[in-house]
Amino acid sequence: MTRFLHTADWQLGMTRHFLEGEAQARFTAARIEVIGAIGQLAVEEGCSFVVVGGDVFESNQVERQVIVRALDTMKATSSVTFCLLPGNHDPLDAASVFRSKTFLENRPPNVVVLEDSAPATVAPGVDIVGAPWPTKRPLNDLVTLAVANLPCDGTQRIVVGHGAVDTMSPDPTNPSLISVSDIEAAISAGRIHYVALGDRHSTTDVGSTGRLWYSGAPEPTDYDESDPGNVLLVDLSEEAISVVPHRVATWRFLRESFDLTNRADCEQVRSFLEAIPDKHRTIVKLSLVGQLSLGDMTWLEAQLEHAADLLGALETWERRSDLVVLPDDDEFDGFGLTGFAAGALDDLRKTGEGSGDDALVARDALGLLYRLLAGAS
Amino acid sequence: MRILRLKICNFRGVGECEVTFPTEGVTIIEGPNEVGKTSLSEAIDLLLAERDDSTKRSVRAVKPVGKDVGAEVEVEMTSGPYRFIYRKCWHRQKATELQILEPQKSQLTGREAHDRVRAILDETLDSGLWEALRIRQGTQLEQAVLAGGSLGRALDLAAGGDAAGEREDDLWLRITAERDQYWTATGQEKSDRTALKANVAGAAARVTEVEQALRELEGDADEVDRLQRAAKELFEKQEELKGLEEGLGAQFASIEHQRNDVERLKGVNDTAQAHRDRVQEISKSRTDLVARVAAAAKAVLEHDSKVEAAVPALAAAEARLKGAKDAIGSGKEQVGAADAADRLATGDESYRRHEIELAQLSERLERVEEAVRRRTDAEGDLETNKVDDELVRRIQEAYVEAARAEAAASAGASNIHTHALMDLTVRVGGKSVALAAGKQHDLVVTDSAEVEVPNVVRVVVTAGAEAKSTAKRVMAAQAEFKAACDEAGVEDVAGAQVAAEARKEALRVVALADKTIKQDLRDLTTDALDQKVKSLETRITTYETERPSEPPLPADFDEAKRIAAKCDGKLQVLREALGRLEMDESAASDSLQDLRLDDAGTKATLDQARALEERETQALAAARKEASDDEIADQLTKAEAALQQCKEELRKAEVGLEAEDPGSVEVRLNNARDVLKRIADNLHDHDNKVRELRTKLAVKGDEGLAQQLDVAKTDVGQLSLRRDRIEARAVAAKVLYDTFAARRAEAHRRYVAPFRERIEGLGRIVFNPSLEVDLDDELRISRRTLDGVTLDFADLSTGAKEQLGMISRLACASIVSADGGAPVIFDDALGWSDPRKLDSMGAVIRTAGQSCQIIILTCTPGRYAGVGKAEVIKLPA
Repeated sequence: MTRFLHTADWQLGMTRHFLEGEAQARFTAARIEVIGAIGQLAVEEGCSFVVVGGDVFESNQVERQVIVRALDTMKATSSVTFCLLPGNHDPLDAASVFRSKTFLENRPPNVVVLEDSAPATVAPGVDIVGAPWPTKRPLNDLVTLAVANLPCDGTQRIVVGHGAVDTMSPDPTNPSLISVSDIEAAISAGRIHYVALGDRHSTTDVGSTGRLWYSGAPEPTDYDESDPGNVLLVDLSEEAISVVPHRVATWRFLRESFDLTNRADCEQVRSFLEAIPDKHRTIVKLSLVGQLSLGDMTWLEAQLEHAADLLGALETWERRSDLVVLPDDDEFDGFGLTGFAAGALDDLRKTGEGSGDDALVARDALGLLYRLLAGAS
Repeated sequence: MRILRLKICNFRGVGECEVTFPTEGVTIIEGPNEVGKTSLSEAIDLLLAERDDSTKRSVRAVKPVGKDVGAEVEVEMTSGPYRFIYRKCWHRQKATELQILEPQKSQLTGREAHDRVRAILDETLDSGLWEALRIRQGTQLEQAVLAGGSLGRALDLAAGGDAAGEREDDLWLRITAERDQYWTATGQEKSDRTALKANVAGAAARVTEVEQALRELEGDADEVDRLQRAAKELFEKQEELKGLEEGLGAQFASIEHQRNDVERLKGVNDTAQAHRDRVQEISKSRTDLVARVAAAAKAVLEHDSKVEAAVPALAAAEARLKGAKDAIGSGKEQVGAADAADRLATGDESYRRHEIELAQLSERLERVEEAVRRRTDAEGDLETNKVDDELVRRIQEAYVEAARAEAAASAGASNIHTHALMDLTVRVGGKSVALAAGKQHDLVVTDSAEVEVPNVVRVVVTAGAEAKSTAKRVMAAQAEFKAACDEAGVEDVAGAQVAAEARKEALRVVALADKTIKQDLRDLTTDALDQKVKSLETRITTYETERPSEPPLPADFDEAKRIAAKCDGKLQVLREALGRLEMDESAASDSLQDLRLDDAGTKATLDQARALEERETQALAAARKEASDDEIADQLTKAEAALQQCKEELRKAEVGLEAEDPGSVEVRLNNARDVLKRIADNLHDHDNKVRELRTKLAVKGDEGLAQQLDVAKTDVGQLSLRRDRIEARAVAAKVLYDTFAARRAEAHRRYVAPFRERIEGLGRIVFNPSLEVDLDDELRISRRTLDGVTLDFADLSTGAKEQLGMISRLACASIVSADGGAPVIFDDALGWSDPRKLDSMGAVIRTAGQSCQIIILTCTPGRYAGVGKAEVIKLPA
């Protein structure tokens, strides 16, 4: 029986525009640390090797620091061999990071790059067949090509590939799509036994064989990933296969929508934010729509500001027209403006009730007025 | 606010003074300056503003001089709903006491009391208005700042709107401050906004720059990929071409072999051809030779017959030439005879003409010679006779002068008349003079004269002085006359006249002779003329001698001329006939010459033809001795056959070679070799390029461009977000400000109207009903119009400024009074106004006093005498 870990899409060197300062630094650090966690898990689970299905690096043009830290982290668990596959983000082209001086000079012995499709023996009777990306835009199904001439000779073969599969791709004209039927045919023929894919950041069991998997990214990278943050522990024997996801991620991406009309709705937002665990490693995007009074909006803004300080990042959709802020009829009454001020307030309210840029600006002006009055009292 | 009662003790110079004021109307406090009427208004200020323990200068200043007591002020006043009595003592017995009477009674002291009053005033008194409504001594010329505050609110109310209060004014300041955060005074965006925008642009530029670098890098990677694939294709192509080249090479070698065969056969063929050509040549020259022999024989015959045919023509031509020559001989004789006759006739003609010429010339010569002679004679005369008209005139004049002198002399002189009584000789003037008896000798005595009868007597007569001078004149005149006569060679005047005539005649002769000579000589000289005559004479003589006697000379020139013409005509006719004969002869001679040449030619040709015939015949014989005609024909047939065989072999070999398509094979082979070379070059190039690009990529790859791009994009995003927020705030601030500003200005405009009406109402009392004023946004009078004349406030007289300043305060006070307001306090104002104006100002003050509290402090009681209704309080001196 062969036991190994399947992971992919480390995307090392990735930065996120919504992360400011220290959050970005922690996010970056977490992406390196998760490699250590994977290595540790491999040791604990008795895996002798880890296959990484592409996009180890966010780009071929990553900073030196990223490369050396990643290599150094893998070096820590020297009993575990890391088999790295060049993917679409870090293809094996002339600019390849895997062939850079920095990489080559710092690569520990337990790090192997799958530079071609020649089978590499990792254990007696077990071969790894890589399907590396030679360029950013290959013109054929690299995985099918890699397995095309493999014999059915009793050798257990783990294929490591990268890219979208044809059954799940929105773009059928992409020539590099991986043909699930071809792969399944090869699996049924007993020529290959497990296909470790990368590219999709959510853990996914593709097709019906149970032997074709996307591991997903070990740390999430975006809001639209449905099940990121896992590595797959694979047990492979001649008769059976077992694939078990293990969660390794420390960060989370959350996205939530709220329809706001009154203070109770605002309160819901507050409690949603309040309930988030591990706030400093959570990135939240709020989509706020509806119509609020100036007072409620001011209150909500205070809540959001507070939450933003706690969270890894808090993004609110900045489309102002989605959340209309209008003063209530009685909202300014408390200030009891008279004379010209009352007249000007009326003018702004009227303009603000309309639509278009003028109304937007008028509402902003009302908000400002509210703040000036509230600040004075 | 109203002041009900004011009491001061030990305040500056004032010992004690208490004044009670009515809540409405005018109170005039009169008193000399030192009594301290000004201290009353100062006392209120100190009371309200300064704590009892204050050591400020203003407090120290009011300490009574020379008394060890503290100043004390007590006031009873209302403000808003409050009514209270407030007292303070400074310097000594410091104390503050407040007794609130309304709305709720309470009592406070010390600091508490002070603070409470401040709070009450803050709440109920428009401090700006309080300040504005007071005119202190000497400072009255400024217009009060009345805008905003109570007046604004009051006016707002008066205009029917809600009054804006201090909150609104405060809000307005905040709005302005907010706007000023983002906009400059001139409405431009502030520099930090501009800078932020520039930062956004800078960050965007950085993104573009890094993207460009990344694209370049990716392009390079793609290029390496492309080059490597291309190199692979090239390598495959190279292998393929190498096989092709080998096959073509073998084919080409076989073709070369065949080509050598063809070349060899071409050589054989060329030899056979040359042999055939040689034999053919021999055969042809034999045939030619036989033909030439035959032709030569034929030519000999032809030329022979031509020679025979030419003989009779020659004989005829010779006879014609002889005839022509004979005719010429006789013609020449005739011409010779006619020529001799002609010459004689011509000579005769000349002779007769010479005779005529000689006669004419001789006559001319004779005339000339005669004239010369006459001229010579006349010229001789002229040489001796110089008497011209001038000289004659001089002689005549001298003669007349002498005569005149003599007459004068004889008239004045003494005369000695010696009468000989006998014949005797006397000596007169030393000369002997023989005198016959009865004769008389006269002597004029000019100087002195003596007449001596020798040995007898000597009479000496001496002339007087006058006589002597007269005598001198006579002598001079005579000498002159004599000199002229001598010059002319004459004795007297008549002689001179004759000589002058002779001279004139001689001159005429000379002129006439010259004319004659000129006429006859014409262009000749005398010698030439003479020469001609002599020459003609010689020729005539010679001709007469030499001419034969026969025929006789023609009778005259005309006949000679006629004969000569006739002879000449005959000669001409004969000469022409001779010319024609000579031409005939020449033609005959030429014709004969031609015939002779032809004949000689024909004969020579015949000789040549004969020689040729002989040569050719000999040659043919010699040739036939070497090879007979038949033998040669046989050789030719054999050579032809051999040649045909060679040609056939060559053709076969060439067809075989052509079938191999040697041109195409060679071209393809060369092409294959060129392509291979090119591929090798390309491969080399690719290799170099790939190496170069790899080096570049290795250098660039370490720069972390992808992360740099992410960072730059993040910067753009965050900066843009910030910019958008700030811009939105800036726009909101501006809109808020603009909206409020518009409303505020509108409100001002609205309540300006009642205020202006009030000012004008009061003002018309002072000025006249035509008064109008314009107010600015700050409610200050900006212009005054009176009797249709509009002036800026600043341009008004000091008095008018003072009056209007007071009127606007009164108008303000009466408007705000209902809302509480504040008392109007004038400290000796109107110092600039004349008595009439003072009266009308009094009416104004009284009118305004009906609706507010007015307190006037004055040390000039008369100044406010015009105030119709007022409480007058006289302070004790």
